[in-house]
Amino acid sequence: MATDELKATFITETEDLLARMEESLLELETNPDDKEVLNSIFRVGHTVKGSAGLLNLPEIVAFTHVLENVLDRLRKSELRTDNDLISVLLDGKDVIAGMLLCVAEGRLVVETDLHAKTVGSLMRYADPGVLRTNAKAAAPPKTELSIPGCYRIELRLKEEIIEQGQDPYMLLLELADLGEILRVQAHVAFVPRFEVMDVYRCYLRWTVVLRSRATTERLTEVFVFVHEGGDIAIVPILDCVHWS
Amino acid sequence: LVTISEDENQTLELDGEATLNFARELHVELSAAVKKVTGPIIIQAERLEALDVIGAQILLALRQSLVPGRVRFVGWSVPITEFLRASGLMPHFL
Repeated sequence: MATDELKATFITETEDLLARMEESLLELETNPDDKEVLNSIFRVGHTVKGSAGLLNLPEIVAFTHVLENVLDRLRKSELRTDNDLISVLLDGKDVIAGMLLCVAEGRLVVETDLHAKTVGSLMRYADPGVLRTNAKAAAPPKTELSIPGCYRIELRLKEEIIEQGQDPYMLLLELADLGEILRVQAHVAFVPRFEVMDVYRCYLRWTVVLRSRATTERLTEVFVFVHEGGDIAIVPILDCVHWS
Repeated sequence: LVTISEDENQTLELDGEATLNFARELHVELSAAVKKVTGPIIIQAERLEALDVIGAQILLALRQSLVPGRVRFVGWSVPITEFLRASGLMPHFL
């Protein structure tokens, strides 16, 4: 399925999930300890975060990461459900809906007043450890982040890339110019047998872990001339430490 | 690009550029050379002036097509070592 189709499916499914989340949150007002309802709301946050990650939507991932943490604490009875918290969670649902609209309209996901206010409110309820981890990812989307983020980049370039005048090594060097490469791994599994190989094709694939102030959009620009026909994924990683 | 040394190990010596511009020649010469060598194949890269993704793939394909452990690379220069490191290929050429 093409990325556009995946995005369209994500938007439709997330709209349904958010509608379900709203119903469940309203239900919590009358049944604040209903485990089934709490679990159902948690699953919505978790699913939206996972899907947004797959689709390379770091702003949604960052926001739902905090939301998910609060929902997790709720279902584990580490927090008590009250009207204030339900109100914050309903705002959270609206924030996701707003970001979803940006994605649907192909606009840059920007931080609204409600977004900033809701993140602040959620942080009062979230586990302190998650706040530190999320500080980088929650930075407002600009061309450059205020704090370096960490990305895992999967490069499956089309085999004809070199015949078409592009050099994969130059792409790696360009990434290195945008930050610090913490790991670069070449995958050789698709290199064919010597006798049958087409010497001008690119069979190698790469995984790169990069720490950079560049936004996902900026990193995507590196691959603007090679994206078609290839499979390139830029996935924000919340924890750089593991790769350092 | 490829010569077979006269020593008893019959080392394959790479010379010039193992790059896109000489990909076909490298493939043909390596193909011919390995047929003449029996036993382990040592590829000496000390005099290799340049290596790129295409050249690296050819060398990798050769090694992967032969019995594991039969091909060994030695003598990478500093610039080529840097290329192998920066491209994530180094572990495959050790």
